[in-house]
Amino acid sequence: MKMHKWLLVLLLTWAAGFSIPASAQNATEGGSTIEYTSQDKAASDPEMADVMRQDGKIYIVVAVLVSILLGVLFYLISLDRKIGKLERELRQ
Amino acid sequence: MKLTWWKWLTIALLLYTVVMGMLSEVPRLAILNETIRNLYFHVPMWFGMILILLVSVVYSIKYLRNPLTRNDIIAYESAKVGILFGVLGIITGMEWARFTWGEFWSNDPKQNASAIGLLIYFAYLILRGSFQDHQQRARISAVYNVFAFAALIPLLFILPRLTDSLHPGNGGNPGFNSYDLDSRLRAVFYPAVIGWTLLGVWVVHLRTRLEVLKQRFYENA
Repeated sequence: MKMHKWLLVLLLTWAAGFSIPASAQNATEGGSTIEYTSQDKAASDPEMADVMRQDGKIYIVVAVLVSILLGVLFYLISLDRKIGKLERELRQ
Repeated sequence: MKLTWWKWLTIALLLYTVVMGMLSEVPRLAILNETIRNLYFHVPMWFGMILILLVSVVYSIKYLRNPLTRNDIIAYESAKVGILFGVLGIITGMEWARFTWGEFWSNDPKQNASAIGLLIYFAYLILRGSFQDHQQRARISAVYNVFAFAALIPLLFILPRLTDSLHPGNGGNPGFNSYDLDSRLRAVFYPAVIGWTLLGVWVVHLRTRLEVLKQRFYENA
C-alpha cells in the first residue's frame, strides 16, 4: 500500500508541475491570450463557440455534465459502501 | 461519507476535468475547433487503459511467482476494466474521427493497431472462459496476459510511428509537442488522465472486493 501512495504522490506532483506553471503563464501573459469576446479576433481565427460562451449557455452544458458525473459517482460510492457492509458481515 | 483519500481525489479531479474541460481556454485550430476538448476525454481513456492493463500484468506476474487467488482476481478484474477503457477509447475516437478526419474508420495505422490490441485482449477473456480447473485457468491466462501486454506496447507506441498516421505524434513526429499540447491544454489534460485512471482503479477495487467476497462465501457455504 505504501508504494501505491508514493506512486500517486509522484504522479500528482508531475501533473501539478505542468499545471501550475501553465496557469502562472496565463496570468502573466494577460493581454496576449486570446479573448473570446473580441469580435475581430474571432472573425480571423478558426471558428469557435464564442457566442455560446458569451451568452453563458456553456454553463448549462457544464451543469448537465457535472450532474451526470455526480450521479455516476454517487452510485459508485453506494456500491462501495454496500460491499464494505458485506465484508464486515462476513468477518463476524 | 467515509471514503479513502484517493477516492476523494478521484471525485475532485473528475469534477475539475469536466468543468475546466468545458470552460478553459484552448488553442484555436482549424478543423479541430472546439472538438480539441475531446483531448480531456478520449485520450485519457487510452492512458487509463495502458495503466490499468499494466496493473493487470503486474498482478499476473505476481500470480506466477506466488499463486494466490487474490493476485489472479486483481489481474482479471483490471484486465476487464482496461478493456472497457479501450472500447470506450475506440468508440470516442471513431466519433471524433468522423467529424475531423471525415470517416469513422479511415484505416489509420493507430486505429488498426488499437483494434488488433483489443482483439488480443478479447481473446484473453475467451481463454479464461475455456478452462474448468481454477489453477490451470489462472496460470495459463497469466502467461497469456504477459504476452498480450508485450504485444500491445509496440502496436500502440512503436508501429504507428513508423508510417504516416492521422494521429498527432505519429508518422515520424516525436511525442507531444507536435500536438499543440500547449500549457493551457496540459493544465487540464494531466489531471484528467489521473482522474479517469483513478476512476478505473476504483472500479477494479470494488470488483476485486466483490469477487473475494464471493469466493469466501462459496468456501463457507
